[in-house]
Parts: sequence; C-alpha cells; structure tokens
Amino acid sequence: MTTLFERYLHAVGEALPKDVVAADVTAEIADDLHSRAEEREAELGRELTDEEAAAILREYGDPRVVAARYGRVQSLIGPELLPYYWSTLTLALVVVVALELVVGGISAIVRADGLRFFSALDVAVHSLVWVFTIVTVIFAAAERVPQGRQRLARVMRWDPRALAAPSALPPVARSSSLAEFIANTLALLVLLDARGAHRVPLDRLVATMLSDLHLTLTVAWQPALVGTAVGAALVAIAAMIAFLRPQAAVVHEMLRMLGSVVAIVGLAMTLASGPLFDPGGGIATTIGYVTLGAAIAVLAVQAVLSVRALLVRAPMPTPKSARG
Amino acid sequence: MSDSLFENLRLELRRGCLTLAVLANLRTERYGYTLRKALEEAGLEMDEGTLYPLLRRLEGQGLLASEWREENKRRKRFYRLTPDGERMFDHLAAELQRINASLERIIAEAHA
Repeated sequence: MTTLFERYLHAVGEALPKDVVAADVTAEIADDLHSRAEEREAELGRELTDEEAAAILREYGDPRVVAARYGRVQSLIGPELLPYYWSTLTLALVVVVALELVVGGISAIVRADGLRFFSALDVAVHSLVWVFTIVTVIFAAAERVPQGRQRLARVMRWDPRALAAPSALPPVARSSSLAEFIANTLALLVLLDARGAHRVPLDRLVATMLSDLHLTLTVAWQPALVGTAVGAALVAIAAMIAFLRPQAAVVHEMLRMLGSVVAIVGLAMTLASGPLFDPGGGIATTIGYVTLGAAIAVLAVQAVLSVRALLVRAPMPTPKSARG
Repeated sequence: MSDSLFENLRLELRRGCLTLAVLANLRTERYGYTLRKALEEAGLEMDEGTLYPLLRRLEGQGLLASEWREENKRRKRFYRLTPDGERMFDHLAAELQRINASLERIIAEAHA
C-alpha cells in the first residue's frame, strides 16, 4: 500500500506547477490519504489490500488533474481574452491567406504560369498553421504573464462611439458564401491558365476552336484577363470572409463591389485597345466586342446593386431611456 | 430537465458558499482531513481536489495561516483564520445574509 501511495504522490509532485512547493502539497495529500486508509482499516479491522488502496487513489483522481488544480491559470485562454482571441485569429487568417492568394494570382498572371497559383495555395495552407500557432502562443502567454491580460485588453480597447451602426444587410448564408467562393476560385483558376499555359482542358478547347478558325488572341486581351482574375480573387476573398463571419455582410458587399469595378476596368481597357484577334475584323471580332460589352453590363448591374445595398441602412434603435 | 445541467448549476451555486463554509470552520484550528469531515457532517461535502487548492489560495490571499505540526505520529498542516480572514468572514457572512433575504423575497414573489 505504501509504495502505491508513494508512487501516486510522486506523480502528483511531478505534475505540480513550478511555482508551488511540491513537498508541501504532497505532504498534505499524503496525510489525507493515510487518514482515509486508517479510517477504512478501522472499519474493516485489518490492513487494506492493494486493490482497496488503489480504490482510495482512484477516488482521489488522476494525479495530473489533482496537480493542475494548484495552478494559477486553469485554462489555455480564459473567458476574458477569448473573444479577442477569436476575432484576432479570424482577421489574421483572412488577411494572410488573402494576401498570399493575391500575390500568387498576380505572379501567375505576370509569369503566365498557372501552377504558380497552386504553389501559392500550398504556401497559404502552411501559413494557416503558422498564424494559428503564433496568435495562440501570444494569447496564451498574455494569460500567464503578470498584467498580461489587462495589457492585451488595453491594446484591444473599444470605444462606444466607434461602434458601427447596424446595417440593413442581413447576414450572408454560409451555403451562398461557400458557393460563391468555389465558383470564383474555379473561375480564377481557369483565367490564370488561359494565358498560354494550356494546362486546363478548357484552354485547349478554346485554342483548338480558334486555330480551326485560323485566329489567334492578341495582347489586347491582357487587361481583361488581369481585371477579371483580380476581380474574381476579390470576390473569392469576400466569400471567404463571409463564410467565416456571416455577420460581416458589409465587408463582403464592399469587396464584391470592388471586384466588379476592377473587372469592369479591365474589360473596358481591352474593349478600347483595339484588335481582339489576329487577323482582325470579321464575325469573330463582332462576337468578341458583344461578349465584352455584355460582361461589362452584367458586372455594372452587379456593382450598382452592391452600392444600393450598402447605402440602405437600418434605422438606429433609440429606446427612450438612452436619449436623456 | 437534464440532470447534468442541474448538476452544473448546483456546482455553480455552491462554489462561493463553500469558501464561506471553509472560513467559518477555520475560526478554530483544523487540518485538512478534519476540516473535510466537519464540513461533511454539516451537510456540505467537498472533495479534497477542491478543498486543498482552495486552502492554498486563501492562504496566499492572507486570509488563512498554516503551520506544520506533528499529531498522531504524522506531520499535519493546521490552518486557522488570520485577523484579515476574520474580518473577511464577517463581511461575507453579512453579504450572504443580504443575498439570502433578497432571494427569499424574489422566490416568494415567483411562487405567489
């Protein structure tokens, strides 16, 4: 029995937080255990078997759990910091991943190599892990250093007057933001590969069609490609934000509007800059101009709808008591 | 009504009361095991995993003083209230009575 108790006390001592005098704590627990054992022995009128001693320890609990109760900090990140932790984590994840995808997208367009976007995706996945680790370590540390919680809360301070007015925009449904994300990411992938890398079957299809017609695309298409790719990336990012934070409907709508505007600018530059095909003229050029014009019109309607949604604000709730 | 929910709310309700019960019991000197037995006899069972860390915290806050002494051939840690602890106990006991009086009124109204 003694060895069983000794082993248990040793395990508790090992697991105790560093700022606790282990011998002090284990001596007290030892006395409690022995008092219990003696009480039980008096009841039974004999010494306890190993199994009976083990039952006492089992009732006492896992040494790691017993030891952890002596710690000053009982959680990785406590309830005071948790809301700041979540908002910082989501913001950092969205910003870092969005930046990497945009940089990857631009580099894919500039170098005319669609695979660059995929390697950017790969880097982005690694960044997710890093961002999660770094943010978690910072908050867990703040929970543990003296005054850390108060200092971090001061950094995150809020001002009642800076709170945003409630928007008329309802939260974005996760199903719709997910669909939007997938659709725009796919569009982005096709667009990134469209400039000659010929890795997506669709490109080969377009190239075959054009070569059958004895036509090739001119450089005039470049602004349209860049514009729609950046636009699609912006909308994909907007969708990602809305998926993580359905309440962020205003940010979502603003980014969508920006995406439409960027795409319109790109398409308009192509439209203005001259021959779309080599050789120019003919029915193909007409179809090209009509398609560009139609795309601009659709995007313009989309942008106007976004602006209208953003301008309509819900009336502020004004309870009588808050006016005085 | 779910039993586990009741158990959670009951624990929450008990938590502050246990501190008060410990302070009340330590106006006379006791060591951990006898303190636990005294609480148990008074109908407030408290498991040692809660009691000992609580004693340590209260000591750290200056409300309790402890001393190691030998009794029945074993070293035991005896606790008792410090003067600060006595004052704190008086304040908390008065506060509990105030809360109880309010609650009784509120509960009586709810039943009415």
